[in-house]
Amino acid sequence: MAQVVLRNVKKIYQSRSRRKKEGVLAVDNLNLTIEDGEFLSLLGPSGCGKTTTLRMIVGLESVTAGEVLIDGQVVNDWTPAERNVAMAFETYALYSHLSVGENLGLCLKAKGVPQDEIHQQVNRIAAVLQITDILDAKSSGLSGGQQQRVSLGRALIRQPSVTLLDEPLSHLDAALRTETRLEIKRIHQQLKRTFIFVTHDQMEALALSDRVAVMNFAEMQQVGTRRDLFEAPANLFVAGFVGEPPINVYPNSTIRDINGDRYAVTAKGEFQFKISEEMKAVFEARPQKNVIVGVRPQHLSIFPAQQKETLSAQVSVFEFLGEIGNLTVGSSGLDLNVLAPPDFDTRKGETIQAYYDPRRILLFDSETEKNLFFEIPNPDKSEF
Amino acid sequence: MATSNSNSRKRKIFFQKLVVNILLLVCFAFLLFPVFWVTSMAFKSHDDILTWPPKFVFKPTLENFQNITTAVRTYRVGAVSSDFLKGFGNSLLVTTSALVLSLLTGIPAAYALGRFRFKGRNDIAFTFLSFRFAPELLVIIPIYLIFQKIGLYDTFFGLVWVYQLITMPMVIWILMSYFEDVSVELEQASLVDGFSLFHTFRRIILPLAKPGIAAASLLAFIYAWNNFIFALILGSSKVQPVTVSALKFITAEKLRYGDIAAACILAAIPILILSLYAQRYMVRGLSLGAVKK
Amino acid sequence: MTVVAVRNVVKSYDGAPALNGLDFETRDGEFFVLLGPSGAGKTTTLKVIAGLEDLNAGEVVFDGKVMNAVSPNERPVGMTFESYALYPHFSVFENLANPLRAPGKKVPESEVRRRVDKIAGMLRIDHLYDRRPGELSGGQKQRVSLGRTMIREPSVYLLDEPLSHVDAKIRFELRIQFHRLEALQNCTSIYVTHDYVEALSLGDRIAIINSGKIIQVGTPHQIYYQPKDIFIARMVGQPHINLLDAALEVNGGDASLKIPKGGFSIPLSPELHHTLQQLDAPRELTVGIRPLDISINPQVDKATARARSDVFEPFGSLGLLSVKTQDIFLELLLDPDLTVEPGSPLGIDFREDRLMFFDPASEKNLLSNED
Repeated sequence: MAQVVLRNVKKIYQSRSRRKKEGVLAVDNLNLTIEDGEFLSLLGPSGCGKTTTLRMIVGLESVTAGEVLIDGQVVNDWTPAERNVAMAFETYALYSHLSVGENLGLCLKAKGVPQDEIHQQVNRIAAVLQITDILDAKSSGLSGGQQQRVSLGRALIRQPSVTLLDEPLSHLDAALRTETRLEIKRIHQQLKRTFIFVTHDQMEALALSDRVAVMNFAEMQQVGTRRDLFEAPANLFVAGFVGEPPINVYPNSTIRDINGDRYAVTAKGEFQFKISEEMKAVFEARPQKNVIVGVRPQHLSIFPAQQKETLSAQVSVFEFLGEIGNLTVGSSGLDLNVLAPPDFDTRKGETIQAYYDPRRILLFDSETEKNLFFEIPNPDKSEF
Repeated sequence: MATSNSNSRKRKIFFQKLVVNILLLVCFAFLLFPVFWVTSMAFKSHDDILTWPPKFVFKPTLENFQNITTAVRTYRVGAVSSDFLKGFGNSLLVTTSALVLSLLTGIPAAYALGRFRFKGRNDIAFTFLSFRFAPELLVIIPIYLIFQKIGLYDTFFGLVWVYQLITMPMVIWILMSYFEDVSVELEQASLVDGFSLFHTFRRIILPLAKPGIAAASLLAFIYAWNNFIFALILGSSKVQPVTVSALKFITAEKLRYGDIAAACILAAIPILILSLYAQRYMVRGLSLGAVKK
Repeated sequence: MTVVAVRNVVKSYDGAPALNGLDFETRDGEFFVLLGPSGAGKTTTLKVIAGLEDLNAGEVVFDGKVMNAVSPNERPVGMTFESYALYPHFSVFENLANPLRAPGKKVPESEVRRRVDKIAGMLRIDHLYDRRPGELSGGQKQRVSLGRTMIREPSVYLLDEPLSHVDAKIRFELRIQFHRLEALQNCTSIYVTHDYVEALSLGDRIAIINSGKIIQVGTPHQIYYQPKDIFIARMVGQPHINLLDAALEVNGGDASLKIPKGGFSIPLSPELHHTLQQLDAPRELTVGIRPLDISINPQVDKATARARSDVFEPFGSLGLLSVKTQDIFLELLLDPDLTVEPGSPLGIDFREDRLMFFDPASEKNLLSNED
């Protein structure tokens, strides 16, 4: 069992200078449970506290307040070795004077494992990572992708209960990144161990993880599956950070009654989005002045389907992007991005219909920027 | 476990810092002592200067300053008027002229050396630097003979010209690396905006090189101002700068320490003023942020 | 509106050629994209066109007039630099106004103010006039750089990787804005990038440059669906194209492509077979198919190939499914909301009209016509 729990964890970096009394709050009141065998990503912009959180789990940073538990035991004062965790660093940190095989076997050697046992394990992990052919090569002459795999192998060979990866893909070129990402997922599927992955790239996080923990400004914003983050983001930050193309956002919108139905209308009336039954209840419960409307391009379609609402707009720009097409439509100067198939044939100025499900129209409080869906007293969570 | 480690680490760091600070203080005191001593000498009466053990608390007097600037001294052999002020004036004139000449010719030269790639570029640049390596005593006699022959002995022009050996290398070397650092794309942007190279140089490159020009000017000025050998051998009463006229205070009678000290103080003042002024321009990072590295 | 032609330009730095016989011609008013990996010579090309770098051989021609001897400040070009090259000691306003202050322009101050206001308003930087470049964010610097280029009203726009140092979200917005800027869309613009998404989105035509030479020129569709060789096919597309070793087999009247390592064969229609025969295709080929052009057949037995699902990575708009057929892995792009059990058997089909055939030795696309 390798469940990791963070309870009310806080980290403050003490300031060295005498002038600044306060330290830097790197992580604030973090509560997170990572299940055994889960692949969880810590996602956020740089400086949000994700790397600090990872380092506290590993034991490279002390915890200012709160507890870190692995397998039910409080490990705050344990060294990384005692915690049985392994980390693959962003900069690989390989021992350059040793060969690949020696790099992989070093920690086993330190533990006193017999030589042939080391050989066996090194070969096994090398096969999984496809680095058998470079086992004898010096680790200083390797390419980025190879170093990355050796770094990963070194972390995995220890058979740790938790494997932590700190932005391992950020220094690889696009093709290698895709390949290595697939490999990491493959390994996780095979080994079924707990993996914790830190990244600022939302696509990586979504592609690899069972759940993603989104952080910003030292705070946990939301933990959830891909669908949670897409369909029920906790606040505007999560909605905007996760998802590419990015979500369409319209501040200063209002809820209006049009022909007996409730619509979220943009500031100057450019777009009108019908809202779901549950959201109507929110508005009945408390009157809402201005709201922020968010709707993802992925939740708008040019193809009709059952029970979908529709709105019309003029085509402003269509981008053929190879695998997808991005359609930007406008109404009186305001833009709406809609995902379209790459071979969509259209002209500027043509009127098209965009279809959507009212349940996918997100509404955020104008001041707190929180998703108003979470204010519904008894929401129908059958969707999620 | 973690907390006790950090406490002992904190104590260790504190002691390290304390020792380093004490050492720095000692070095500081050691290096600045001569400055302090000379300054106190300038304000002491002749007797106070000569007493042993040395007096750190004394009654300050301005007689030394008066002596060197205004007094006419009468000796058994005759009256000598102080030409310290004249020397001061000469120093200002010669040093400033030398600096201006170096800037006018050195800045374009530094730009060419820093920006363009041509055969012999490194050799030429090194040649300029080598002027600073040559000990002045080595070249002084040939220059003296030549100057005598061509009539440049004891002239302002001659001294300014020789001072180029001091000021020019400074200007070229500092500005060469400064120009190398100014991104070539800023110049290219200006060209594409429609400006000729000359205008680009004036509006874009020169302002950005201001810190370098300030630094180079300051250093060149200091070295030229402090020059003794060239001034002594190649000049006489007409062009004597302040470094040479301070010799006058070593009279047949006695070593006028007080006068020398006062002369040093006064001679240092222009440098101090220039340093404070030039500092304003030596602000690093002027071009950071406008061009991505 | 100018036609820019680069004719057989050679440019070397210390003996090493950066441009090696570069040759292309834009159309009047075209948004022309130069796409290539880093080190391909893209920036050098722009600088040669602008006159900021000399060339060793060849010509740069604007509307039929050879510009080799014309100095950069006299060429009707505007250029944005990858490093922005904003004057650090000038305010944003002065940076924007700079081209109007060139000697010989004689623009009165009120006119300067008017033109700067117009461009700054369009680019939404009119609230930044008093700031210095050092105080701006990446996206803001990018727009000031663009504004400075536009204010000159050049005949040719040269844009050097304008979006490469900006974050993903801003890049997306700015890309849309590029589509909308009338000035850029109506004038001949040469846009340089290493990002194929930008190229596909913005280019009227795209020229692929590598090692100082142009290897293909075509519309975005042509580059994507009819790449001239494997290098281009792989460069454009994420995840990149699936490449399979294949052998052409004919059994009576039926032709198919046997994929030995995959353990399946792709049937070829008679028309396609005929086309391949006409082109004198070798028996052994490399077949390329893009992830989006492989689909799952719910009836496994009727499918072209049998595979096992390996890893499924759903991200925002699509999901990447890796499948294993005998010894090879194939990558497919599907609906991200699908549930896929790892290791489950699947049937896959290939879209015939999107198959690409490459000669394994020369790596050239057999079906692409020579321009």
